[in-house]
Amino acid sequence: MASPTQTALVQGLFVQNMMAVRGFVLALMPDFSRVDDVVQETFLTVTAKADDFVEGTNFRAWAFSIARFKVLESVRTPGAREIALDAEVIDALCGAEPIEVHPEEQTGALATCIGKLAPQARRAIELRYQQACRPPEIARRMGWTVNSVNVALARARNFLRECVERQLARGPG
Amino acid sequence: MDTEHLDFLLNRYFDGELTPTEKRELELILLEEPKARREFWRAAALHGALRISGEQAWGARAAKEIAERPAVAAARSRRWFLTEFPRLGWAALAAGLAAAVIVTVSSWKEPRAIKTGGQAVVSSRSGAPNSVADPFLAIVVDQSAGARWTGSPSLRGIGHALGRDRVRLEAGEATLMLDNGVELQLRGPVELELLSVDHGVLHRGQLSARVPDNAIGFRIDAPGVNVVDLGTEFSLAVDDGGEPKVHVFKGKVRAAMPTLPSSRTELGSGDTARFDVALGIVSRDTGDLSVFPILEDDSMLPRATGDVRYLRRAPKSVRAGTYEHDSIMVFQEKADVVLPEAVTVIRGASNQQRGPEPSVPDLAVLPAGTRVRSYLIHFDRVGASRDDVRARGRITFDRPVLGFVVHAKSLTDSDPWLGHPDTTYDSPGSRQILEMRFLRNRTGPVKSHTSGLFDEVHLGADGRSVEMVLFGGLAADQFRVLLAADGN
Repeated sequence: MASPTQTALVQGLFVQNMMAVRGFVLALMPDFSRVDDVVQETFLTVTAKADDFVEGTNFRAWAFSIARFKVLESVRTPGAREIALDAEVIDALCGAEPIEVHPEEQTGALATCIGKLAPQARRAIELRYQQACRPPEIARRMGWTVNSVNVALARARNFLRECVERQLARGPG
Repeated sequence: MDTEHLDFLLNRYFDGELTPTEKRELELILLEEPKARREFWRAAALHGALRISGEQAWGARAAKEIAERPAVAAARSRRWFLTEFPRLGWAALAAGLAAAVIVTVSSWKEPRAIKTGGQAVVSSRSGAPNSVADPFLAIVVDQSAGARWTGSPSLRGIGHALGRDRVRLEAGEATLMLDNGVELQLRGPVELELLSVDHGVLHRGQLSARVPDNAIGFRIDAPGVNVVDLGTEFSLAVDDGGEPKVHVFKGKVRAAMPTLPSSRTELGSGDTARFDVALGIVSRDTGDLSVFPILEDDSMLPRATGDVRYLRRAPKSVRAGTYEHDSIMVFQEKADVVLPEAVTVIRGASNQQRGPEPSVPDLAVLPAGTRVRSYLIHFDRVGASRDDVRARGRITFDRPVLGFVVHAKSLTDSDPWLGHPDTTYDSPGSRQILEMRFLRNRTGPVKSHTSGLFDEVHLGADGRSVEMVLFGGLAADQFRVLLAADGN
């Protein structure tokens, strides 16, 4: 069992990196309803394995590796398997290059960029990301076809991605 | 690599919309193409940031509400620095910083729900209606005599339907029945926001929830805490300081502070936990259980399924247009009445839709002097267009059904002695009967609905269930169900 100091260190690092861990899990699990559980399970395992972490090494990479196992455990269950990627693909995605997930950097820029969306596109994005509605539900609420929602979401994301990248390239201020 | 097609597949993946073929196609591309994997993470970064921003915007109001209680916030800040910082250190500080980020996200604004007629119309933050219609999620099935609702839309009490509304019950108690069978007992003052049938937010006050098996996973959020049902009856109370307490009457729940994963805790029957959101502390509690509303024993009530909702008290009115929604309402009118004159009823099943001639159900006459218990069935769909709205379901009583009063004259004639004394009924001239094929009105045989279909009412094989398929058209549908009174 890890010393209280080591446990506190690891938990503190987890909290500092929680948005990144959450972003990593969100990438691999399209079903939002399971993300809370996986992040919490990751935290518990990180705490239990606190002794394995060597101070000064890459905490984020270590936490991602634990989160990856938790994702794989979760997507094995019926209902999740159908929409999650195959384990082999998740391994390929996590294995090759350093993973760049920094939602903490993007969220600030997003606030500005979302404000620039057309009202209906913003409404579709809000329903998808605030209220976790899937496209059929968004279509029902907005009186659109599912196909129209898919197109609107795709266009809105393209706009937001370019807008956020421009904002981040410009730097603070 | 076809980047446009990859973009299409990635968008469908992040929305959970991939078909099995598309999923396999995306998987092959990701396995084979390093550039596709880089593109995946580029898209994933935005998707994750959008969801995190969305969650923060959603939680921002709760955080704002706590922050707006200056006395409590200040007291907590002092207490926190004096007693908890040395113990929690950077973990707590980082959690606090994460919470602070929540308040800074300002571009996401919540839509405002407006009721027009019976439908909820959501307007964008600009205030311009955008014709987004929301379904109803729940009906008020009971409330105490002193219940007082405020806010907009103001509730009219028993029989009123709620969409994605934020409702305030200032005094008294009320029971909501959600469309998935979840029962919520509210005790005023309480402020509840329904987001869906699976998810609500308790902004203040107390509620208890009874969650049937089919709705396991039902979630209630309170400021800084979320409670997920795992098959249970539980209660959640938020005191004036914004501090949530959870109690489990039966079964199990999982509760957690979203900003603090280590706070996740499972509570079983009889457990109570208090969540100090400001300090990030969960403590087991054996305090005063009287703060949690008691769920009424529903084992003796008629069982309603499908679109049928049983009201535990009579509504103030069943005049057409009073309560327009998508559910069939049933309520007890009189418990024990001696019929002053004979009443013609129908029984059994009948085929209304097919065949050259209408199938006529069994007719029976209940003689004067029969002691009966009466229930009214009422269906008044939203609006009055010619398009039919279908509602179907069943209600099962604890004793045999003697028959249904469906003829217009029998229905209006029996209102004075079978109707509830506190309920206003339509006058005889405007009373609408069911569109059943064998019935006649003043001008001849009853015509079908616009869809060409007729209403159906059947007595189930057990003799205690009433099965119905009703088509809401231009006016409300009503009929009366008579049971033998107690002791008969």
